[in-house]
Amino acid sequence: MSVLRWAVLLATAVAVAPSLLAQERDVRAELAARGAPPEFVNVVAERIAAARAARMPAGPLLDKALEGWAKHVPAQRVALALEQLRARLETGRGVVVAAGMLEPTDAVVAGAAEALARGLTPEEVRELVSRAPGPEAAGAGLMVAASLHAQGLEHAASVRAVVEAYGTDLDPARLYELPSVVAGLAGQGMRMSDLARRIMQGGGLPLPPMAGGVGQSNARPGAVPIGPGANQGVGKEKRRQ
Amino acid sequence: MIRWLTAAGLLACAFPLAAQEASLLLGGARTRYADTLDGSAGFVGLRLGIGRSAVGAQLEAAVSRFVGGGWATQLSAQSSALWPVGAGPAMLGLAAGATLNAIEGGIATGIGAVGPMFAVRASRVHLVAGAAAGAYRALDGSWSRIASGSVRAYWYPHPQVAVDVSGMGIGGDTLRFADLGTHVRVTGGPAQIGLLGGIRTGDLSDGPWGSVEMALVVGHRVTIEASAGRYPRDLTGFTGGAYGQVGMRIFALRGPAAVRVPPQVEARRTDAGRVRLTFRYRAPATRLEVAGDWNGWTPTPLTPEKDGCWSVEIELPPGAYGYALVANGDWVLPDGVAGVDDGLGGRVAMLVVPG
Repeated sequence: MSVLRWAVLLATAVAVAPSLLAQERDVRAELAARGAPPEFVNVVAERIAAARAARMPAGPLLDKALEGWAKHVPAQRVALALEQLRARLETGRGVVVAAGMLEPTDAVVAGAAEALARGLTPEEVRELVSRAPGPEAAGAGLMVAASLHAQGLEHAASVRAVVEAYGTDLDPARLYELPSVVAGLAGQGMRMSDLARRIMQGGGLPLPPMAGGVGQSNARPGAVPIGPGANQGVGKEKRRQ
Repeated sequence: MIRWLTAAGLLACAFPLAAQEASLLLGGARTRYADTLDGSAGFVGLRLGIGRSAVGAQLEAAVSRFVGGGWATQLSAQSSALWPVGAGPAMLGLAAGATLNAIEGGIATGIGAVGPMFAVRASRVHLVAGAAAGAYRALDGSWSRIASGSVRAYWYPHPQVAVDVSGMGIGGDTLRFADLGTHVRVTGGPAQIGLLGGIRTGDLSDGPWGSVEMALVVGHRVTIEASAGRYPRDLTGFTGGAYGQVGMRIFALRGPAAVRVPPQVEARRTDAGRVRLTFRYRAPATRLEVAGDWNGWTPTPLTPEKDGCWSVEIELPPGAYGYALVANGDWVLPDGVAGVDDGLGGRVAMLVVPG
């Protein structure tokens, strides 16, 4: 190895080491600030350091450790959860790279891990990544698909809804509105299975059941309980409860 | 003919055995009905409903007994079915509806119609157009044919707000008129408020009309419903008037969606590209906190409010966050939220902050 190459490596190490050390200190500091004992801190810090060395995002691991500590979960159980999460991150990263994103951002890797954890298949994760208009949309789309599935929507429909939203040139941050839309429709009485079928039929988010018709002409309350709202139309939109 | 109309209405809504919703409404009202009944009345109403991806149907029936004597009944049946046209957002379908009013003394009126409908979705706007043909029976016992055309636009500017605007023209053997109307519904926490308004022109021109309606979830299967307003005269011969009513709806098959009320999250964008969330939740706790990915799982206390709700303001960038509540020191999932495995032997809720 030439002197020049050694010099470059040394310079890189000098430049990078402080930031890595700083990140390591952050993990320890955050846990210590919450009163975690040294043995707990060490268990977590070692695993996060290993993940960083493998170019995995540390944020989800640190969040999981903080969650475990806050919930008084034993250190060994937290360590197991971190191992499982790291394995998912590695799998997620592999799937994302296979989808053609060779240098995925932390958000995309974390999103892929979350999507896989919620039951989406690697093929679906690949589709969400490969059809995304950019890394930011891919990260959001993966998280949103995972959230939609967690809401009870079938995973294939969750993926389809996100992919359709990609095609509308939305600001990627607006993808996060999809779970609210689905929740709103569920609140209006739409069942998840029906919603999923509708999306898979290509209609996207469903239309409310209503029609035009002569019945709309009667706007009086009738025998009162039905009220003028119910007389608004044939097939009037179902009232939210 | 009335029997046929009733049978058609029931056929159009041939779903009672498959109903996903069945509820009973008990209450009182002050109204004028059929120009022969006027004053305070007690009523019992029944509602059955189905809502599937391709078919929606609703049947409502009610009986009112007036304090001063006399009774009135009414039946309203509405159904529609839609099928996708190709792979696009357009849908074609069929709609049918009927209403029937019967009053002590042998007075009965009814309207029935059926026709095609077309619907298309574009982002948060749904457009529906329809035409229908049918017949009605007026107060004087005469029958007339009618045909109508209508357009309605639904707009969902926010998950908790729905707005629709409609226009319709009707032509019959003896009269013609047109309606323009709007309906705004806002849902917040366990309450929903609706505002309806419109104007009727032509042979039934009667000036503007409007009403306000409210539904409040008060129990596992109970809502309080109230409405008041003014209605226009209609084609069967009823005159316009004002009314007010209040009642209690009891759900037999499916409780109101807000029974297991999930946390209500109101989002407002800030200048810094973040979103300020007002997180409200109704819980019978003496101490309530929320913790999640955004605050390193350090429980943040919620502030109790007079109505039994707890609230807190959080400012976050758009994204998805895991969270849980701490009620009286115990980690719990909020009601009405589908939790996910937390990998630690428990479950967490997901908070998705819209952009």
